[in-house]
Amino acid sequence: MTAPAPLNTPLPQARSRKRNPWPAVAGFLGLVGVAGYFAFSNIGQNLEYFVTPTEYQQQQAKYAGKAIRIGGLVQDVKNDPRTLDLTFKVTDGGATFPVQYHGAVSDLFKENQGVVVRGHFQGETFYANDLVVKHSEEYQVPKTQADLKKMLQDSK
Amino acid sequence: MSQTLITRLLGVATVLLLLIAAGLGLSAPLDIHQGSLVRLMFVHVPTAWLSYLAYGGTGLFGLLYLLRRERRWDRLAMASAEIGVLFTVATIVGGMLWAKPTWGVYWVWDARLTTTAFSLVIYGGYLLIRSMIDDPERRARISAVVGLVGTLYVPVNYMAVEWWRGVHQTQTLRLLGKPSFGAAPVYGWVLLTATVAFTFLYLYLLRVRGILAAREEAREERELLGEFAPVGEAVRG
Repeated sequence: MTAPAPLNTPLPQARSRKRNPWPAVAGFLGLVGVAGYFAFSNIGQNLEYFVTPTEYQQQQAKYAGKAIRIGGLVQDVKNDPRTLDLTFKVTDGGATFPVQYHGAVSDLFKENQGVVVRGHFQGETFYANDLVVKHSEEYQVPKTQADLKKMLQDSK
Repeated sequence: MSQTLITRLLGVATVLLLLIAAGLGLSAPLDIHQGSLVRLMFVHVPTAWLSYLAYGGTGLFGLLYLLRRERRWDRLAMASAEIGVLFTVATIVGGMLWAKPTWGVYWVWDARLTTTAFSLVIYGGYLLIRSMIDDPERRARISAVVGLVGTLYVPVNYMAVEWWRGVHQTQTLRLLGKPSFGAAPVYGWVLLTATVAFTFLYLYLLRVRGILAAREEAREERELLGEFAPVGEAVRG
């Protein structure tokens, strides 16, 4: 026990609180790690929502038997509105695969429309469980009277 | 008094511009593929723009706080983050309503939609962090840093449709490379009006929320002082 200091002596300069540096270091290393993972892993590939028909054709072994999404343009639509059975071909110009789907689709589904189907391949045929229609970023008003008539008929 | 006048004028201008945008949007001709669904774009794009603006504001005001150490910048940063979250939710809801009849589903986990959802985590976290720190200076300092880092969301989300394949459309108004507008000119005018209107809406909401935050802060300080004041003072005050 030391005697208390006399009251009239000025207090020494308050020591600045020593901070434990390890949480900050760990946080910094964590951020660097995450950034490195983003830079060097194939997460960029994983962020791609679908593969194109050409990519599938080139890497069939990699995707064999797996549930994948294929994205491309629609061709040769055969739609049975009674049974909701839908067959078409999906293409990206390089490769083309037949697709089978059962269910209702968006009104925008038509020839040459972008489409993303999720499912699996059996042989060369793709059996789709989900179908998402892409639409273009271009929006146009009817230019001619014929366009307008067609639009009004379609919207009925 | 003149401060109140500015707020009122800003509010009146916002309402007028929104009405004009609504009138233009409802009288614009329909799209050849989508019909009246194209009108959702006139709401969806400006709400997304407002959320970008608000998140940018949070970063900017946070930076100003770090430079100047004035509490009003911190209040504006908080106000901006709240507006950003609100309008991100509005963007998501409007986008889902547009996606169902066009894409055929409400939601897909493509890059644009996923990063948009992620912004709710970033700025929800920002607001959560604020609520957990009591010391105002410390709160302002930490949240300014979080707000600044969070601004990275805006370019990533904007470019997501270019960097990764997805379902979401790419930009109709291309700003990078050769600028172009890939839609009928009449839609461009509607979008421009709506975007200006939503910019005014942001400024108005920011101002009102900032004033509210200043009053809240003043009251808290008064109550804090009241605790130490004599009882008689507290009763009178």
